[in-house]
Amino acid sequence: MAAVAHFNLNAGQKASAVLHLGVILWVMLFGLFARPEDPLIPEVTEVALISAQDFAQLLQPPADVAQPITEPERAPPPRPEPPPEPEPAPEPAPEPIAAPEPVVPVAPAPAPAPEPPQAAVIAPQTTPDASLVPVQRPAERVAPEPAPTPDPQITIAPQDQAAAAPDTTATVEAPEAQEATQRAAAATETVTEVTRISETEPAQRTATAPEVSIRPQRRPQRAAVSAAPDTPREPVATQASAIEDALAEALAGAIEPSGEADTPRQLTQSEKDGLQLAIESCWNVGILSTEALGVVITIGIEMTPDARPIEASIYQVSVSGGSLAAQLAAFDAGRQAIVECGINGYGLPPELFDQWRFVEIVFNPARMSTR
Amino acid sequence: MTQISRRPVLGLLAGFALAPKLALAQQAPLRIEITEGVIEPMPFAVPDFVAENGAGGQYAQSLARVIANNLTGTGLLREIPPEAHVGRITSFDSPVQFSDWRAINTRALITGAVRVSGQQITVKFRLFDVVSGQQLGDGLQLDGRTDAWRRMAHRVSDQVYQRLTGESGYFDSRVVFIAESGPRNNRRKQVAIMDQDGENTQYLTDGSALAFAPRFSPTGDRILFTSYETGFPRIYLMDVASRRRQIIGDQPGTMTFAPRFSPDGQSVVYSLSVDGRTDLFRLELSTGQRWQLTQTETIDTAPSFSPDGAQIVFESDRSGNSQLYVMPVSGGTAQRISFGQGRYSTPVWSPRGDLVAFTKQFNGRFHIGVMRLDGSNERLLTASFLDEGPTWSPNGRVIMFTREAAGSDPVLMSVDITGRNLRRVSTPGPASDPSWSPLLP
Repeated sequence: MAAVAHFNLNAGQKASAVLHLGVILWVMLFGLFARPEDPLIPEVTEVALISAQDFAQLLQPPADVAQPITEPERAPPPRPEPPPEPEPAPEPAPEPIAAPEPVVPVAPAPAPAPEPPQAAVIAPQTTPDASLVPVQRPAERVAPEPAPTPDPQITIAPQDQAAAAPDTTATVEAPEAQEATQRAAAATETVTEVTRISETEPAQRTATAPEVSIRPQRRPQRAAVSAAPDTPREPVATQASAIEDALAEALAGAIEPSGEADTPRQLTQSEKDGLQLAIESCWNVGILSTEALGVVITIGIEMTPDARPIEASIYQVSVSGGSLAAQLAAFDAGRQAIVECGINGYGLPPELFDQWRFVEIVFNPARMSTR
Repeated sequence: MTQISRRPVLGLLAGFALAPKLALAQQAPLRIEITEGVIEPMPFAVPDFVAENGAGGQYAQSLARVIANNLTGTGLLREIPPEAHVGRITSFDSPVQFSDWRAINTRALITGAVRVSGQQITVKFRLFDVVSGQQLGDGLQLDGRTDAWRRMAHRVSDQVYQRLTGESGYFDSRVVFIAESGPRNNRRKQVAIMDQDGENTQYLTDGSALAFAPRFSPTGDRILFTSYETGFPRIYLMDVASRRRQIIGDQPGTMTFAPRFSPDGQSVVYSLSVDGRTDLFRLELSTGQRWQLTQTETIDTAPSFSPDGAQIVFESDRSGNSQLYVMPVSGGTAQRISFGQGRYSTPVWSPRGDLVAFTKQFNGRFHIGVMRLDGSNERLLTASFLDEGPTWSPNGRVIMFTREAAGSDPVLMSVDITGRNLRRVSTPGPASDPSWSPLLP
């Protein structure tokens, strides 16, 4: 009996031990001691990276759809190389410079003859790209019923043409004047809630008002000039010839050697300042972090003979300060400024092309970072 | 001797002969320096993401809208609204027609795609510099559960922000705050948590006892807050996931408040008040060991660690009115850093370590301001009837704080450290005492 009782007691103990062990294991594995997942933070996993290089490969259009632009200038030159001969006259359609340069083919199969690209992949071009000019977009993409395109020859009266060269220039400058007004409106000083004093606001408005009213004042003057004489309307051919004459006169004046043809003049300080101001007006540092505002970066570019920056030639000459991410952001901001403001050319004297074909631009935001 | 004398002569002659050509050949690049720029929001566009299957369609627009709101909220970028888009993104891998986006003055373009399979969602995106027609950085693909779609949008926003600005983002983060409700004489104050953009608000306490000053741990999984649950202010440590909590630093006959985690999350610094004196203490969470850091007859409170954990900034009225001081983490001599007029309080060390944000009371107005650690370069960012309690975004770029107008309920506001982009943070109701989490893991 004692043995049986002893056996029964052991079995009960064993059963109890097994049950207790099971409960403890269950609690440890799934119960109180397990740290619950934060229900407020759903899990997100980054699983793959699509590199820019891979995507660039994907973006390569089929050869029969678009021909890559194959100008040698697309390769960023490590250092500027001289043109074989200084060309005094500007070229309407820039051609590859004949000087041997290190060529880094971007496209796998460069076509021998450059053709206008049909794809929208933007590459540095030495020929005017219609896609870069917003006003040349087809109107039907904006409105289903495009309004008839006004004939520019009708809007410009012959009298306007008679008023001639100055007015032509004024018409070209109109977008720039508008742009300048827009830039001036952008704040360059830190105005906090503390410093924003309501009393100063009317004064500020008054100060900016004349700049806004400048543009409307010019049009009545032009209209008055055009309406004054009773001269009959000249034929379109006359108008076109007047433009050509004016252009020829201007170009002749521009390229006329001032002295010895062998010693071309140097780029003036005002011409350099003009380039500097043009880039400054597009250099948006508002997006940059405080760290990126501590980055001083020098960017080198090569220009086309009509003073447009060759995008693919843009390269970093030197950089100091900041992390890699800050330096990348600083480079992007500088590159955007160069490309954006040079889209219509920087207006540098073409006869001095060899002096500004290669430009190094130091972007130093030290003075901006304190604002 | 003859040879020696002839070689330089020949060399000179050759040099003169070649000089003009060499001068021409080695035309140095024109060099200009740009020191002035413009400060204006960068125009960007986020067309609806491409739905790569039918189920992804319900997220295609929502993802784009969250990203657009995040980036617009920084004040650094300005969205070109979808109504103005000329181009259409119909396939994630198709070439982008950059001319369409240039036509509407877009500088940065974000394209993306979404696919949903059951409860799994896959989001991918690319960022383009429209001006140069180049992709910026690498594209990114995110996989997760469908209920994480907003986090994915925040992650995408962070990636875009970092690439464009050069600093890390702050969108994939949360804010813990005090949600207020009820009449002013019987206010209900609950600890609540939400995404940084005001979405997904959840309440962590039931409001049966007053709670205030919640603070995130460096890992974002725990919070500290002060509650009157026992009738006296006590510091509670709460696990956000389980909502379990415990009192820490309790000492009979005292009041404990103003807690804040150390950067490693292993210890807490807080104020302990007894017999009219308020001193700073540090508590090791794992051992319960406690050190008294200050011992004065005045009020020392609102401590905040430096990012490296070596120093503590706090407020003290030991000079006669409330000013800011810095001392070693082990205590000892404190250096006063604020010397301007007015009263300084609630200092918070920037995650970058270079600035301290604070509340300043001066001339009957409250301000949120920042200064360097030596007290220099003080800048007041806001001014109102009552602004207080700043907290830093994870990247140290934005400050959130409480604003209360006379007779009005408190609201949360945020401001860029430049003083620009002051805006209200969306909350379900009156809110105060915000604390920003680190970026979520």
